Amino acid sequence: MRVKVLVKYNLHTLLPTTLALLLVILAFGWLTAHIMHFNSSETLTYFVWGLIFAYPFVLGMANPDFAFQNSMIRPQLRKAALVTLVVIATCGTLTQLAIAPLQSWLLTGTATSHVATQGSSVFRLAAGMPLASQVLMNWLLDLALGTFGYICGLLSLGQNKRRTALLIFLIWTGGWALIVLAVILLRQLPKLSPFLNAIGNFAATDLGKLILAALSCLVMIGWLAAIVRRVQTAPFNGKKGLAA
Amino acid sequence: MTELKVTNVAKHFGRKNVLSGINVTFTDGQIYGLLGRNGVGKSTLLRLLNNRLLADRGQITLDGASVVDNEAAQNRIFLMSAEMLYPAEQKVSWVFKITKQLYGDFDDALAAHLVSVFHVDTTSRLSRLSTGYKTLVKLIVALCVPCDFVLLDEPVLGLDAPNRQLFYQELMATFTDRPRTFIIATHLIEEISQLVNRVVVIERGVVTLDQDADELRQRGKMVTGPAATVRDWLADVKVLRTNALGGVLAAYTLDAPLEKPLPAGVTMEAMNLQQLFIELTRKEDGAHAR
Repeated sequence: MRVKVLVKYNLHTLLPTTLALLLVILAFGWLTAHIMHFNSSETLTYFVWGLIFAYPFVLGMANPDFAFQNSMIRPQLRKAALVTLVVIATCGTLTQLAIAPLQSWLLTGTATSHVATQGSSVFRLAAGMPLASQVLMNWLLDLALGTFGYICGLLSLGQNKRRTALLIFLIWTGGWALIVLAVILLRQLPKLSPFLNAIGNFAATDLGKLILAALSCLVMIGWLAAIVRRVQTAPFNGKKGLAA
Repeated sequence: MTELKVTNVAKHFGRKNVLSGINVTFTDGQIYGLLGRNGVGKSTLLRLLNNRLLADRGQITLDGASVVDNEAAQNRIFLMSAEMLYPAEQKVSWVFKITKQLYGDFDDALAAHLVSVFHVDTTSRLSRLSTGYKTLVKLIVALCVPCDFVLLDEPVLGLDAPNRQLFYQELMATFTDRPRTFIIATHLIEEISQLVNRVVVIERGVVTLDQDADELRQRGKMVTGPAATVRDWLADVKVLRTNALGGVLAAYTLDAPLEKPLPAGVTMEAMNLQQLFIELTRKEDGAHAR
């Protein structure tokens, strides 16, 4: 019962933050489409990725203060955070399912950037996949990133660790932002375009997809393992780690 | 008898040892005054009791069972924090409703009475309330939860004098109706001196005094008179502090030798709780706090 109340409360309190972030991401999408001349599919991809990136932050803002004010215990908080995560990930998947037809339609739209039409962006890999794989991949990404956010939430349990959570979030998103920026910049260099196009073309083949998927999985597993290890050895509530 | 027992509990933050070995037992049906100077760890102890923090060492048990992540135990302990931990965008009525959902019960009748007494608008959002009214909302919740141990951390923060007086009256009334344990950490000692029936003083990370309030009031004495006579009369007892002015000496003690007749020219007055606290926790050189 207490967990149910907290899940409801988590979802309720996360909603305004999520909506606010959505507006920011929409504005970013509009800017990329109209000023940076990305095509619609890229804008949409960035938009979806932006949403995914927002989850850790949103979940990192979980509600330990409120829970502790109501004498809740850590296992209840963990359970509530996990249920919240699954609900959000599921909602994210359903949303993406709903926008998948729109995405398909946008993929046939007019490209405004010459490089965008050549399939060199790794971010278009998901768009090239069958719908089921795409949904599965998105769901897994949501779950993985949400897990990260969940850990951020745990970090903040009772100890005003939000600064730590925010720092980890900034490193996480900052790293991704740098990769995205690097890809965007590299694509602007005519000399590198053939190279990137070659990568893009290879990535579009079955073997390429398989290798990229395996690499992504490895990176994700390694990253999560590092985070879990970090949290387990972190000074969580003084001395004990996540296992406390 | 229900017991909330703290055994050898220590807690540090970074390099600072806040609590270095707390031993104290809180029993049911008492109102405790938890006293100590700024930063001695009163709030830390309350948070440890309510499982918000974990101790570095030691144990906290409620009726023999550890309180750490123990749902049954924590359902019986409520901590009203000095900070507002409820979401600012919510309404007062929502706070009452969600508390009822989480604790399974809530004294609606008492809440309605307190809302009326303190003129709290239950339709207001918390963000719109003044500091005093936010405190009142927290206090109403604390008095209405069905918990055996209610911990109040700076309960009257931001309240004006009439509301503080009203709160003390309502606290006594609800305590009489439904006896339970209140542990009040506050710096307004004189105001709670008539409420508390036991005093716990924390100093330098340990409990330095844990005594019945009436006994303490009876023990605390200020002895004034000619310096030599006062020193002679108090020669065999521990003196907390002395204050000399000319040839007159004022000595503060918990152990006045009442069995000995008071010498001529020497007077003895009872100290109130606040004076006692000041003398017990004075940090000046030469102080003999115990």
